[in-house]
Amino acid sequence: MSIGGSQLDASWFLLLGAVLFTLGAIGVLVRRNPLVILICIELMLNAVNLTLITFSRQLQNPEGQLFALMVMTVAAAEAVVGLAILVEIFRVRDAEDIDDLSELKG
Amino acid sequence: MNTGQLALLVLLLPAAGAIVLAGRGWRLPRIWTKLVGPGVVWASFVVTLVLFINQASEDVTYFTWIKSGSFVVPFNLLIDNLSIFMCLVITGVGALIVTYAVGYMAPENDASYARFFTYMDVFIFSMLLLVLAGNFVFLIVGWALVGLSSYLLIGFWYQRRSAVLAARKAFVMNVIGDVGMILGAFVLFTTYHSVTFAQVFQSLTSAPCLPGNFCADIRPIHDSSSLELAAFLLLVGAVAKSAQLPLHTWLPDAMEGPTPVSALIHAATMVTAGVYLVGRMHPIYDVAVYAHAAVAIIGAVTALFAASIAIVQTDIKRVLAYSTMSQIGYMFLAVGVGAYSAAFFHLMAHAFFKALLFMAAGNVIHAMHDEQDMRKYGGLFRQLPRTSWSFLIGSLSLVGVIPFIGFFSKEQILGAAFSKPDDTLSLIVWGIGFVTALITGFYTGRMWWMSFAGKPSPQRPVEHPHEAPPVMLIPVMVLAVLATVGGVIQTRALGFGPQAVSDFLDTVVGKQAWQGGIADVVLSLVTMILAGLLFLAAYRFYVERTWKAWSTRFPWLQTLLERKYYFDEAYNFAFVRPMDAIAEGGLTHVEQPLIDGVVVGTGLVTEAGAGSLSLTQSGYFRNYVLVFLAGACIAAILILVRASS
Amino acid sequence: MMPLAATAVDLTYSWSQALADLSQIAPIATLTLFLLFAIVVDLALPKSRRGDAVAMVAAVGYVLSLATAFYRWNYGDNGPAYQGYATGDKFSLFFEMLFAVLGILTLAVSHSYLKRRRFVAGEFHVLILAAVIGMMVLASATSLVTAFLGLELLSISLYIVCGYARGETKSQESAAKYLLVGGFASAFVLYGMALVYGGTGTTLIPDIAKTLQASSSSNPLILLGIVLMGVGFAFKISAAPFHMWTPDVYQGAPIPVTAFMSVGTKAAGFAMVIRIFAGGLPHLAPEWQVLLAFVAATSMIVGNLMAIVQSSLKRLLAYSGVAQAGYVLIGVIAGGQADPAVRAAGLASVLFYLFVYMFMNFGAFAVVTALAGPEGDRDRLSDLEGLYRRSPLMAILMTVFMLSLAGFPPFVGFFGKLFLFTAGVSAGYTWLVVVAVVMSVVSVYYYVRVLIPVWSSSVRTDKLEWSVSSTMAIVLSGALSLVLGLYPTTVLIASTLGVPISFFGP
Repeated sequence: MSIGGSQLDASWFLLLGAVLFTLGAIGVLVRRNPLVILICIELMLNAVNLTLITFSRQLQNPEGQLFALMVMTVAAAEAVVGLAILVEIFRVRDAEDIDDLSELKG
Repeated sequence: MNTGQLALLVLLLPAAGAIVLAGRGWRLPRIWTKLVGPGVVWASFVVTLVLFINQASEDVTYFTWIKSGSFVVPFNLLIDNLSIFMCLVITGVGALIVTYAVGYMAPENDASYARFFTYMDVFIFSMLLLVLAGNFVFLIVGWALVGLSSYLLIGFWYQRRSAVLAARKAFVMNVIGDVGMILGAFVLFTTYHSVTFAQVFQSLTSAPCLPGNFCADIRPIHDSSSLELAAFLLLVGAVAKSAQLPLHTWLPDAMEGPTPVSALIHAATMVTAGVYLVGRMHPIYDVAVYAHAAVAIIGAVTALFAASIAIVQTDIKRVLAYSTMSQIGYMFLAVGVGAYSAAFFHLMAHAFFKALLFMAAGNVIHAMHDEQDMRKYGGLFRQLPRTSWSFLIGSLSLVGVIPFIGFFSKEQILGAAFSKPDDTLSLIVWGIGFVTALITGFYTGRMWWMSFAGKPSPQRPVEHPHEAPPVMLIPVMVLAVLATVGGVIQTRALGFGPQAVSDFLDTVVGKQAWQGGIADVVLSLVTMILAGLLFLAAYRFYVERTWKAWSTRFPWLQTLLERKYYFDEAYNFAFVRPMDAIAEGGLTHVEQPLIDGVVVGTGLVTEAGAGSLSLTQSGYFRNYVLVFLAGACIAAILILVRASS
Repeated sequence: MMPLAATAVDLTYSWSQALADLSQIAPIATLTLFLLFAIVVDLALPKSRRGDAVAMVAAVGYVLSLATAFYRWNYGDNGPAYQGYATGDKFSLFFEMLFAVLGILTLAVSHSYLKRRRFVAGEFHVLILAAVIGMMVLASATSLVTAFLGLELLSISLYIVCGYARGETKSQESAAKYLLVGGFASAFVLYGMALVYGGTGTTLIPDIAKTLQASSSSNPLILLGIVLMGVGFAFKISAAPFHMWTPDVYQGAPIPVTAFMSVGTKAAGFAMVIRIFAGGLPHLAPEWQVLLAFVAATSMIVGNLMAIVQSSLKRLLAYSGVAQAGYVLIGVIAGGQADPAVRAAGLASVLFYLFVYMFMNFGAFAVVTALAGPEGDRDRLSDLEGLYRRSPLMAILMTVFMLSLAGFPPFVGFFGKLFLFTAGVSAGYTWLVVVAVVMSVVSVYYYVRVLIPVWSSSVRTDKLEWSVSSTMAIVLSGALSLVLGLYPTTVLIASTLGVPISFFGP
């Protein structure tokens, strides 16, 4: 069942997934442009997809792949809605910095 | 109608009045408010009288309200001599005061007028619920509701900042008390698995379980430490509600409310709820000896403390407020030494004469166009004769002069404390009570002479004041009559004669275990004479000024008293300011300065390391994410610690 | 390519099986059908008639869905469907009924509001329908996959309606913040689910429980999965310290949306927490109980303290919602105990509280909805001034809602708290209950603070206009907040709520 020889087992893919997820989370934390933040969230979702598919492969169980397909669909929908909302904001004002969205507080 | 229905009627009449006034009051002609507001209280009083005449005594369970496992709360009202006694005082004195308010609140517009009587009726309902409750849940409900209505009434003139602040202060103090009450009831429930008074007291009074006998299943074993804990927690509630040390600072400020409110809530009824509580819970306090002693000590110290502050107050209502604290201190002293019926007799007497004093003071304030500073009165005796006479009767009753009711009630307490055998503590509290009685004579004299005697003050706002209208005078006079002749129903302080109140209440609170001797009677008379002399001496100090004012000799004492022993300052320093700091600075913006600090801090660290990651300019969205991640880290650490242990 | 599964999967799917599966999720299917119908109606009819027609379709859909759920509660053979991916058990039916009622209430309150603010009504109702379906899916999900789908359907619909006041910067900001923080939290939940899947080899919640029962050692993958999911769930139920989006989003969104969210997402989130934690991970209860206890204590303290200083009613209720989530978590924690009686008491108290919380919280928001003018929401405390002269009925109802939220007997909120706290004590979390009691006494202050302007006179004496539908919704909420506090409550708890939770636990 091993792919690419015995050196590259599933844990490497899991590790990559974790690294991508962390990078996405850091991106959400440090980037300023709302669009980039949205993309970072997509990165986090896709990191999970990688994890799911790795588990699916490792466990010989198709559910993980099913899950990943669903996540892709959901992520696409979320991106569409997210873009629509952000574009709506850009039309009214110049909000290149997420910090500009701070009218509500307290 | 049977007892249960009558008791329910007593309770529901004021509630119905409140609902009618809340829903329609401001739309109906004012005459309806005038009729409904006091009317329901009078009706409630009449029904209570019927209960009294029937000699009703029953623990009526209407239905089981909550049943959840071992937690069973019946909807029950406890109708016995104590609750009927309290209801009589509440509805009787309450009805007089609410009637008085019809005149006093007349300048308000229709909406405020209706609102005032709504609150008053809600208060009467809550207070009745408190005393009729047959279980801890209802007791707490009533307890919280009287706090709530008091909060609303103190802040009635919500346009005044001082009134709002005073209301808030009262509320905070009362909440401390409520927490104590709830935790106390909680301890009792976990110990005895019941919330009804009857069952808890039964578990308490049944014979102790002997070692070796298997009886733990049938009846919980006495655990005196949990009983002491419960008693102390309940005491916190009692102390807060009755404005005893150290939770007393709200009462003087509560005088921001309309004067009928001060008379009803802050003199006659609500503030005595603590005394009622200790009296009702006497089976607990009889066992919990430390908490019981604490009641007596708190009462005695408060009595002295408040009386001494009253000497320097210049606002007539504040003098009365401190005097109220002091008199309730006497009641605490009495229940603390075990003289329960004496305490309740004083409770009734105090309701008469203090309501009288407040309402008479209200008449004076009314005539003086809302001036409350006694230094700006003077010489009112000729101009307001009826009010002045009533006020004098109240004052002499407060000082404790024969034949006014205050003499019999207060001296009975002091006598009981003095004569309690083999008890050093009660002798000490008697000493404090004795000194307090003398101070009471002095400050009462100061108040009366300053206001009514001498020449009119040049700063007096009204040259020719008018006596109040009959609706405000008649309740005052009724109470004046009661304060004058009421004492004849219990003359135990003199060692002979009837003792109607004690006979009536002994079935509930137990007969006082010891009898006084001739020494008490002699001491009573000595106390009265000394206090009376001090009352007269105040004339020399404050009107004739022939005697040099004591304050010039002891200026530091004057300052100490004027600052009320620096209690407000200490609280301010210890609690209010840090709380303000949290509330204003941190609380409003926990999400801003605090988090910014974290962000900046993280940013500096990261900058030192990587340089390019600049987190110093924080945005709110990123604050949220950061807190989110911090929370996730804490959660992860917690779980790992839990899993590895 | 190698075959993925060792055994051949049976791909036959009979008509009778299809019908049986569909009938298990009948309330959801009904509502989905009406959602599609509503979309068609919205496209087909002329502009002037769209709004009312869609509202009508949605109303019929909610009522039919409620009726279906009610029928199945009484007569259905409730069990798993779609090979264990969903279920029609009583637990899900309870929540489906709750969400259908919430849909009706939202529709009743929002329609007149949308007209007054001149918003497009049709799409709004369609989106709320979709969100309700998402909540129902979440409640009936017995697989991590289905749960995630429901969660996202609910969230994405709400992102849009939060920004429904398109011209308002506040509404836009609310939508953007909700979207970004919500997506972030979803990623956490999803990663947690992936780890649990990796650790157990299945996404089916009952199978997860079985696998964990068999294995004795605690798998670090699953522990990390619990942390990540727990964090995401805490976000959805707006529990501190994952609550920071709540006040902002609630304040910016149009009031009917806030009302809907404050009740709906919270209930759906709790359905998910119970289903996954109590249903799927009962063997790791000590671990997630620690997490939830931390979150509960923080929520009660932060929520109640922050609420004190608010001047916007929406924000105040948002923080109050944070605190209330803390109280409800006590019941969930008790629901993780091994003792069946304690577990049942805990979970039943959660269901009961969510049920009554819907009425009292929604009612409070609904009253504020009617204050809104054409130009915007009026949700400052001072906007309530003189309410008792403008509408005595609403003033009384507002009083009922506030006192009920504060937990004053005899209102139903008192019982809700009582059951939660008793469950907490019997589960051995006395310290948490003490925190809860102290903080709920503190909370009385700000709930009563709302009532002061309500009962004070003001210069405004103009009558408020209340649409019949919203008046009915508010009166219903108020009546239930009061009536449920009286005698039959205990019966309801024992007989009705005992059933849906009976199957949870090891």
